[in-house]
Amino acid sequence: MDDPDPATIRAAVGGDLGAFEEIVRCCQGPVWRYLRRFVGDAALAEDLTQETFIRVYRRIDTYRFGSRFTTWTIQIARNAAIDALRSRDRRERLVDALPPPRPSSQPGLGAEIEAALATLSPKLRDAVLLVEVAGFTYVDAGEVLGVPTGTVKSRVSQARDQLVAWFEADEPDPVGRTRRGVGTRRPARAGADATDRELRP
Amino acid sequence: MIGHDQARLLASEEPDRDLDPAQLADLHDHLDACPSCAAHADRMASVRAALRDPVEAPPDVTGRVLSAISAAAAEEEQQPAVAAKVAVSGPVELQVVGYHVEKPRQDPEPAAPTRGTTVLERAGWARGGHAARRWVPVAACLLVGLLIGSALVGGLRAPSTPAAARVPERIAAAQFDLASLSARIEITERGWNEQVPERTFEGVLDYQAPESLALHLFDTTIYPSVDWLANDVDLVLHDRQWWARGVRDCPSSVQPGCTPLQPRLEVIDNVAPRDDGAAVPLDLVVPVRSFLRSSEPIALGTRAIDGHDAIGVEVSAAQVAPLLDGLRPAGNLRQFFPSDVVSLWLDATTWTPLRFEVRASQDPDRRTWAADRGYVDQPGDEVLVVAVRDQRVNQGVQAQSLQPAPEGGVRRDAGFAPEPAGGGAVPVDPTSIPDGMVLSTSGVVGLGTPHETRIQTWADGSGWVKVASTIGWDGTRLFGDLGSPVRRTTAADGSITYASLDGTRVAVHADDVDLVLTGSLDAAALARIADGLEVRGIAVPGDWDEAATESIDSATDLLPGLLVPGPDLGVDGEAAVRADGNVVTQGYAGAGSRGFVVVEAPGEQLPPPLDMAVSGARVRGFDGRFSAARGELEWVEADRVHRIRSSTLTRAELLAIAENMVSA
Repeated sequence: MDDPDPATIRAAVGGDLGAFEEIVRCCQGPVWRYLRRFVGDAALAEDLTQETFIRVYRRIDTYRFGSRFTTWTIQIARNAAIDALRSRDRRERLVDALPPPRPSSQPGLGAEIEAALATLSPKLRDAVLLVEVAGFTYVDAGEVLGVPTGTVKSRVSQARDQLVAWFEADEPDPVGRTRRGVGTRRPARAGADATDRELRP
Repeated sequence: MIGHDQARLLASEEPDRDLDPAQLADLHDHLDACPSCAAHADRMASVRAALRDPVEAPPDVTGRVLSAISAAAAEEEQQPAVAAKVAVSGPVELQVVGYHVEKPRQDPEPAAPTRGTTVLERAGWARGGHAARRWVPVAACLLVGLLIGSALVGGLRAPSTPAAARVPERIAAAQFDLASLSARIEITERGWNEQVPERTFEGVLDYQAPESLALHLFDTTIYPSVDWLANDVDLVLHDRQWWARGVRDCPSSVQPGCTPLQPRLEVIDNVAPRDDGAAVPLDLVVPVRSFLRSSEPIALGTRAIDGHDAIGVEVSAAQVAPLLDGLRPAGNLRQFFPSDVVSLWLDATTWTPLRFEVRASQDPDRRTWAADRGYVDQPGDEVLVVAVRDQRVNQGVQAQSLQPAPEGGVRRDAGFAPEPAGGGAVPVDPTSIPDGMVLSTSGVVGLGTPHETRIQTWADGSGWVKVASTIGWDGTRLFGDLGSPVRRTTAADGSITYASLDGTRVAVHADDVDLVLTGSLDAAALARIADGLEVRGIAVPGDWDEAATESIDSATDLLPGLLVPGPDLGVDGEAAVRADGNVVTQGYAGAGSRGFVVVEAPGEQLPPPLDMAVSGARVRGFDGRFSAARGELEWVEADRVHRIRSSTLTRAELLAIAENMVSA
């Protein structure tokens, strides 16, 4: 996603609410898409998108112009999502149940990909979402995740392979394996629970 | 021929463009011969597409976000006005509903300003025209004399000399005589981190008019361990390619852990002329922007520097932000507090910087600011010294300095395509272009798209002006992003133009085209060029953001008795004013990057502060408060809530402005 115009960011830093509104309009789509994949819940993603921009508003005077604004915003979105998942975790531990991210009710590859994402380990899922959905470079993703660039590449590669393998699981391939057909719903597994657990402090 | 596993690994990496040509060839050879791997690669592409698929249309949360921000403020308004209840005398600390409110000591004793200038003038505010010098009211000086004045006292103070007269004007004129500059740069930076008390850099700066520039800085610091990454910086704009490489900005307080292992490389090809997103630090060549709207700065005298006759001036870091920021286009160099004191030495003939030094100011809010960033400097410390060596003006540049971008990095194509002058662009009256300027570039961005933009630039030396125009503009605010608020001007023939707060952008909205003018010229020169355009500007549609633009007179009709900065402030030019309902916002631009915004609205109480810590302040005889983090001074007076906000002025300066306000 493209950065807002630097002049707009500067105006927003200076307290111009109109400029900030422009930033929200510019960035909300990519932020929501990232959060939608991160939490696997459209309604929660919408709330978190709102929360993200409120946080951005409160902290915009700490933004350093040496870095990309969109990278900074996605970092805030990711933190907001982690906070929300932790909070949900605390709530749901009260009833001794922590459901995995809910697959979309929509049929088709959209639902499949969510189910497939839910099977990834937290580290792989975090890396592939930053690179594939948020459009981060490996370097940027490494900065956010606090790991070397090579580690990010490795995690993204593993994640892609596992996602492809998930789809291929039920359908026979030329070497005799079975492959899962696109559109076939696979129940989400406990991997999603692990996601939330790893995100805990 | 590579194997299946290797092919699948490469297929995974191909979308990231991380493969070299040989690997790509191997991959494609394998996929051509292996249906299974080709199917895997297709599946990989499908999965990646599905990941990026928006799933559903994203919701529009803009209204919810803005409402939440407003609602938070409104909710807080229902609570007692904390600051308004703070006692007037003595240091007071209150802990009320979670907010830490500290009342500073009472105003210090009066201190007469020095050299016959007002505090705000000394801080870089211009006086309009040739108005006789007057004094900021004594009440303002009570505070400011000690707070700002102490920061400016001392050092190499010397009487103004004829050679140092009309400095802003001569700097503005010098840009037209500079065709090239080549120099070495030596930088010493202090206070950035406790473990690294001093960092040093050496580098080169090359500029070739009209728009080529290269800045290469090499970090020569000896760090405590290999965990610290050298902060090398490269920035090049040449042949319509812009690239920057450097360590990402990372807070000093969490160094070295947060430093990425590799510098970030960003490349933009086919970049449009004078693109805001591909800026280069032209103020390192001639500090034109730093001295726009500036009054005569404090003179430091003359001296010889590296074989050049130099003239010294003293200004604030906020004023010369375009100069200081030029050193950190892609790297992780330290920041400066707005009132930090900059001693700038300029070549007496070419007005190019030869040396500048930054000292930490005495501002009471600076200590917290520095601590928040992990800096370890003390008031009065010299935190930056930049020495320019072997400077050669108008003698060409080192070609190898303007090198193309290396491979890799984050790359994008801005899509600018040169085309002959004229083609579709709005005609410009050549007599409106300043003498000596010639057409430099003509072209188009987004050819054939709904947002096709025609661009023409003119240049003379390092001076420049740009006219960009587009048809079918479907935005809800002026094309060219003037920010907010803006000034609206109606010419004698009824044509309307809009100007940004600092006057460096002028926009015209016409029936069938939208234009924006930018440049290194002052607001009056840009306005003249706008007048010479063969279009008739009309008012923006009622649903555009700029439709809220007002004048001081019309805003006073909305809010009778509206407070405005008094004439003694000497702000240059008229206010930019807007009214959103009964909330009136005034914007004023100062020297260089300095400026402030005044907001006035009906109200009897201040809402609880948005920051955890605010300081009580006595403003115009009323209790108020100041937030250092937000750069905001607030008070209630005559059933109106008043706010003055700025990221480039200090608390003392905001107080001085407040004390100086009068009813319009």
